[in-house]
Amino acid sequence: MSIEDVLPQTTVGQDIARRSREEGREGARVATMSLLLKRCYGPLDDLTELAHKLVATDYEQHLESVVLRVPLEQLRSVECSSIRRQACQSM
Amino acid sequence: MPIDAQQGDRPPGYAALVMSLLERHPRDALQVLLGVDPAGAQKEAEKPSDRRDRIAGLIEAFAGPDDLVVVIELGGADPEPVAIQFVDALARRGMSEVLEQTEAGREIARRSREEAYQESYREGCIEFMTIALEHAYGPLPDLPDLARRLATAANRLQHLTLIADRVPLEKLRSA
Repeated sequence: MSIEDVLPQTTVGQDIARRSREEGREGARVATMSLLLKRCYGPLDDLTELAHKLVATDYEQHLESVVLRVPLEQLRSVECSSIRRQACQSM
Repeated sequence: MPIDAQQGDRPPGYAALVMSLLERHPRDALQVLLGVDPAGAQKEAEKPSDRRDRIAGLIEAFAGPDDLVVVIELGGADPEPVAIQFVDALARRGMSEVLEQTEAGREIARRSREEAYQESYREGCIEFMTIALEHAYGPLPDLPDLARRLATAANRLQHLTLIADRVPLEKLRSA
């Protein structure tokens, strides 16, 4: 038995996996949002920043807003709520 | 390092030496600490009771009485849970960052991140395709299937454009 077999079964290994899955999921959501924003509104200077903000606030709602092409100003004026503020600021 | 603070009257250099070994040769160091001979020769030669004693000694050197109790309780168990307990004991003693930086730790992180990324990306594409289809064509009996098929194709963005242009549904269904 090697460390490769042991580590995934330990608390610390499962902790690493859980945190990494969250990172992967956030990364995918930002990628999906960026893809859609670019497709629906053309090239944007603030694409990455905007995508992060929309994912951090309400991913599913904003996915819908982008597909339905609400005015860009409406998306840009989205504020980070107090609950999510930390997540927004950490970007 | 918290581990030094918890070592009490143990030789002060011991934890530092182990940390340094783990940092420079994480895989080899942990394999040795876990009692796994890389060539696999020693494993058969050692009696299970000797092995338990040795691991208990290692844990005592690293850790405190609590972890030793765990090892004693596991006395009749397989070597495997002892190893798992041992790694968790290391983590509790402030070594989780070192474990995270081992080859095995980075591999878990890489694989988990990649799997979650692929899964979420696929879900996200199905989700936006569903929204677009529903918006353009209203409720469709084959909506979930159609959305999944259009979203998982390589040309998913072309499909999105076709939907926005409201091409006849037959064209999408045969895409």
